[in-house]
Amino acid sequence: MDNKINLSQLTELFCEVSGLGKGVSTAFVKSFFETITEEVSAGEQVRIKGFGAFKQILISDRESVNVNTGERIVIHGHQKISFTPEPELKAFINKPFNSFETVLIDTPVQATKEKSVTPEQETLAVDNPEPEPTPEVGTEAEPEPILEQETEPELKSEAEEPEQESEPESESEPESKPEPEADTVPTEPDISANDKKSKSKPARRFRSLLTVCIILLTILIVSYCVWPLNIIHTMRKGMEFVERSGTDNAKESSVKSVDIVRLADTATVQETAKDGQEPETAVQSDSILQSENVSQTSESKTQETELTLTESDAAKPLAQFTVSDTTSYRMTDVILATHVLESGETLARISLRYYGTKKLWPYIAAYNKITDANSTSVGMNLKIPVLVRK
Amino acid sequence: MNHKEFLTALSGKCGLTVEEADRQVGILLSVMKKTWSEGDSVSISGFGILEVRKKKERVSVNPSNGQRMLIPPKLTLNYKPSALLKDKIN
Repeated sequence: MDNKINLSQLTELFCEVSGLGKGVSTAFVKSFFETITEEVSAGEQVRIKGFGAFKQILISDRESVNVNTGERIVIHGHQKISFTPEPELKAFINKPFNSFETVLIDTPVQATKEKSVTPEQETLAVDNPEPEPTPEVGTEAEPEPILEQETEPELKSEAEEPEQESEPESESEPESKPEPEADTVPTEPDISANDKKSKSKPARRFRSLLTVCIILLTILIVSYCVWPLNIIHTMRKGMEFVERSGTDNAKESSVKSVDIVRLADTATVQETAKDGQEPETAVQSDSILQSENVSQTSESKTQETELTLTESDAAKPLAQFTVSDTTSYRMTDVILATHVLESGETLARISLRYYGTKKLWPYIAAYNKITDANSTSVGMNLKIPVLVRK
Repeated sequence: MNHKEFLTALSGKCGLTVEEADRQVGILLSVMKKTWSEGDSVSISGFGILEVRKKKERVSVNPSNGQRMLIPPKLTLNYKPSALLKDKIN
């Protein structure tokens, strides 16, 4: 097996069978291949009975793109030698596998249930049809994810979180949906294979996304149960600040409460969601401020902010953890220095320069009312506030 | 160049009659067939390598009617010309 028989070995084997002299057989075998080589290189086609046909094929120029540089390059054409074995020889070579035949795969790759289904359900429904049509391909992993989905909603209902309640509903729907539709499937076998392919891929991706989402949510629930004390602690601090500034100026307080939330959550991606909630409550409290006493507003404000904070922080308690050490400072009106932003400088670097740590940059951003730390421009005048530990 | 012309050229080279050459070619081919059936490859310098390769089974789709077919694995005889011969023709 897998040995290379060279010319001399071939000659020996040939010599044994043919009964010719060694010298003659060597010359014969040599000239056999020489003749083919000569004729083919002369551009002739060589056809040998019981063997096959050798011929030259012209491969024409083609254009390609250099992968590294993106340049268009021309791959020059060349001559290629092709060998086509005769059917007899082909069959002989393929003897071990001759019993195999081309099989038509007629499993109706479940005709998808378009049209009647809404787009949301459609993407979910694609999950379930998969296991049915693939007895041959063998996707044993399929049933498991479904089981997970079934158990998950229960967990979520225990946690009683408003965000998550919407998901179990949508997940439970597709389980019931596809069953009746599966009956209609055989009637629509004509739906092209392209449809099925394009649907199965997103379905797989969607399923993996779904499992990742479920895992994340369970982590969140657990962390919500484990670290409530920490969250409340950090929230109180934020609220104190809101109270203090709220009595001074209603409009400023709304801006600052947003900023405070930012400071706490700079590392999180969910910043935006919280910002969306914060200003609303601030505006509400503004209106109350105008109509009622200052003392009452501070109370109502703290209550409202507490509510919103619990909602928003429950979603991402980890964020509080990472930046919690930076919330223990209070900005004063005294300016430490004024810094002109130069190219290549970031807020974090300025923070490192004046405060000795990169972590305190959110205070600079908040004091200078920079909403997006990535959109600072060169030549900006930044006021660096003196920070006092609470 | 067909089989007859090939035999004529071959017999002229090694001093055999055309009939004799025909017989010997058959024997040579049978020897090589035996080699291939054992899974070995024939490598001739200046000519190239003739070897058996396994093609894996695959699923192909008839583009006109979307029928999917499982094409079984197969063994094919593959010819790879030697670098020398390649240079010669280019």
